[in-house]
Amino acid sequence: MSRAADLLAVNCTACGAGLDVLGGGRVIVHVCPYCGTALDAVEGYRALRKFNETPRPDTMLEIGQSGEIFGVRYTVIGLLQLEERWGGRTWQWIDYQIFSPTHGYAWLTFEQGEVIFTRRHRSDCWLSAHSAETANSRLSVWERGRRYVYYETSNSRVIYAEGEFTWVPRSDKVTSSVSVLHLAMDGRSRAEAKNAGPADCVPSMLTFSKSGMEREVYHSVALDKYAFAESFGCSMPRSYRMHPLSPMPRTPNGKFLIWLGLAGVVLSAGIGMSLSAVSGDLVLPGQTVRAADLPREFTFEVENAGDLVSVDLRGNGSNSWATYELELTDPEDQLLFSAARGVEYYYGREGGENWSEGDNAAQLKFHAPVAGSYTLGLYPDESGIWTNPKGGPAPQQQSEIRIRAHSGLASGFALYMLALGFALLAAFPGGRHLLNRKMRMAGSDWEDED
Amino acid sequence: MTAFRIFMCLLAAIAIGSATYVARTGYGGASSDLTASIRAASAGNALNRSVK
Repeated sequence: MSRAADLLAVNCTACGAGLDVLGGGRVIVHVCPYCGTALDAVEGYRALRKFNETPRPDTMLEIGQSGEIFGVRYTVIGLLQLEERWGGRTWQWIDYQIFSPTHGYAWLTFEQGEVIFTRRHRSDCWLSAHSAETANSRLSVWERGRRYVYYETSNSRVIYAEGEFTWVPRSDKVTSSVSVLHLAMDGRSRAEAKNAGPADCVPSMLTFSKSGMEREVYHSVALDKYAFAESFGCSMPRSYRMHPLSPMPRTPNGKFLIWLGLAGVVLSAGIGMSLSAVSGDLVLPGQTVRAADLPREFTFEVENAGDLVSVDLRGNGSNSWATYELELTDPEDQLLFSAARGVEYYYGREGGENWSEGDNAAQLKFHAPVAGSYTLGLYPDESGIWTNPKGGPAPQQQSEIRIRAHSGLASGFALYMLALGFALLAAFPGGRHLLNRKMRMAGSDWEDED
Repeated sequence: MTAFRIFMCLLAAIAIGSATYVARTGYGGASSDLTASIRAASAGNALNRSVK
């Protein structure tokens, strides 16, 4: 049964107030905004029950207000205030029932600075509150090629209603809703979303709603809020929290930045490694000195001020160590530094496997402040041997030290730092998406068990 | 190709060129303990010269 299509206004049968009829032929209940009586719209508007238990809330939209959504004109025909209580906290929000003579019924909700557009959705897909509660990991469902991940479960009831509805709102009925969210790598711009239909919008949410024996699936998307506010002539509340359905961030040159970053990493690291491998000029040819002949002084020439000079030491022992004191004086006989370096090498066999530690090598690298002749003093410090308590090869003393020096060396440091910068550039689009996804999912009630 | 992409490619080329130039001077290759010691010694030397 449905009410007469040409009906434009009625009087409330409880209080006599004039009520506009805006909602089309499928409306079955009309709640009088003046006295709160629910009227049976299909049986002569007889009074069913007194409905409202709370005062009328402040609302963003009023019944009769109309505007365009996805190019379709909708009119607000009813509003519901819903409440959820959990863990000592209470949440209240308002859903607006809207109607288009050509596209039927839908809902609008204002949440965290966004306008959410919800329509009933034909789908065989279903996720119960029980399966969400008992799952060990976050559940997901596939629907029309899209993957939706579990977002939240809510149990709400209507505490205020006015206007026309295609179902019977009851304050004593609790509706259980499980919401799942679909996100994508890159979002549409608001302009693109404006030209797309609700089914094309990303992100989107499916809500599996159960009230008594009735089951419904709803599909929700965020609207272009600026176009909405202009069309409906309302102002939008601001919010600094991100709604899960807020438009996804766009990185228009995302793929370009990834490729540029990766190419930069390869190029920088490659040049860095090849420059690090350049050995420079041999300014002190390799000399082997017996430990017994130390201390010794070595002289070498540095051609240019600021040249990077490397002094390499190599011992000849095994399962032994030795430390040396090195002093460098500049062409004016000024002491530039006194530093200690050690060489060590240990090896053996344990548990059927060979092992070794140290490489008998040590190095000093410094920038020569001026060009000219430098003198390096090599002094013995301490030395010792290590005997493997589990047996094995006999230790061999560090009896000799080989020394040589190069100047005019390059360093890959700057290029490796640049490679790191390029890596960050390549990671930027993906990182931005992951951060955004994390912020979006922050409102989810899912908690991973550790 | 957009102006942004051309700009980014140029920026990347300049960055790699500059880093290569800096790398050839050996920047960042010295042991930090020796650099500090040489810097202190050089500063002392300069001070002694100015006193003379």
